[in-house]
Amino acid sequence: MKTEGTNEKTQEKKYSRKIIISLIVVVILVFSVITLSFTAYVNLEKKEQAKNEEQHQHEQSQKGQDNVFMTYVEDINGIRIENASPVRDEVGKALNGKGQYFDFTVSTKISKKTPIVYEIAAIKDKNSTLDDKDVKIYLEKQNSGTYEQVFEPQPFTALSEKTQVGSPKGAMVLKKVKKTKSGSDNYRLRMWISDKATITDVKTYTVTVNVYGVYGD
Amino acid sequence: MIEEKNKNIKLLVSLLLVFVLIFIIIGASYAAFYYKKEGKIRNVISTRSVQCTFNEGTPIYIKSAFPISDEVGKILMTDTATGYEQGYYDATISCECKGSCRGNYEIYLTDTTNKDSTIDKIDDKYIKTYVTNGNELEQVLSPVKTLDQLETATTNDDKVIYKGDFAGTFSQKIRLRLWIGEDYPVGEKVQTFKAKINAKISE
Repeated sequence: MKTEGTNEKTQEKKYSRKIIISLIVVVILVFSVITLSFTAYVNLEKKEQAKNEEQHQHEQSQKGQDNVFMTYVEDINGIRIENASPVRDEVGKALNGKGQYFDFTVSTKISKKTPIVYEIAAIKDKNSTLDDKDVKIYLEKQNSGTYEQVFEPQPFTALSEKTQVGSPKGAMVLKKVKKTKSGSDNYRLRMWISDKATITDVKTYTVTVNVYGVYGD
Repeated sequence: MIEEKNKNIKLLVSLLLVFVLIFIIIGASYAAFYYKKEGKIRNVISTRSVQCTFNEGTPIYIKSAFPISDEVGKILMTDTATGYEQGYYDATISCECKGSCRGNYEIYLTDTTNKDSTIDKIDDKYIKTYVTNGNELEQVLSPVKTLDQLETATTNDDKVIYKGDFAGTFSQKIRLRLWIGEDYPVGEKVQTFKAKINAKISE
């Protein structure tokens, strides 16, 4: 009897060991697969970016399944205003010279019935020395060949936390769009010194534009 | 033995199911769409600063002065701090520029005589003006002209004494001499001329 009990215990021990070893192997396998696929994706993205940078062309990148496609293309020329003086909004909104506005395009290709939501976010450079309140930001969207106002000129307004779509904390969401059909949206960004600003020194303000997208509801 | 075999089979099946479940979860996560693209183009505004000061000197006040010739008027040496005198009036405009600045300025005369309706004003055609830079050599900035011959300022009806362009930090002093021309009809009535010197900057 005693011998049978001892054998049972030994069997149990062996069985438990097998379970533990098997679980460890499964976990290692799963993590290996995740790491390998992530590494493969990152390398693919870097190759694509490097290729575009060399050619000085507009960059494109995509992420996600083959049936959903999104791109963000920037114009080669951005806003370059030097020796800027404070101006009224009526003047700022009409700035049309070289280096006085920035054009970009967000394109979506939707094959499924699930819509895409994207956000255009302005990211302020941390080396900017002008106060947010001294700069006006203004966005227009092209509609039937004409650019129309998206919002009234306003100062940079930073997010207090990251949005669900992905715009990070500290960015300013310029526009949030829900797309149910494929298409391209053309935008025009302008910036100027507010006529309420008092400028007593040489200062700068730099902004880049990012785009984030997710499946919509 | 059979029992152990069964146990092992059950263990393998469980592990397989766990494996499949984990991959379903990962697969579902990868199936979720997420897009992020950071812009490369930097949109930049940079400012420059122009801070100006204008020392306008004393207000102009000529009352019942005797007419004098232009030769005498051009060398009037009286500082008009005491008032009621034909003499000269000094004013200085200075601008400190940080960054790149370019523009023009006007120094002009604002007639304040008619603010007091009881005052009989001297006609502009009898008031002579002459502008130098007020330095030792007194470089002429504007020759002798009567008040009505002076150019009208760009944004109001005032008379421009002197105007110039600037590029960067600068300072410009002017010395304005005023007198009553020889052709003034001296009579019994007392007439007066009052004015202030002002300046305007445009970029």
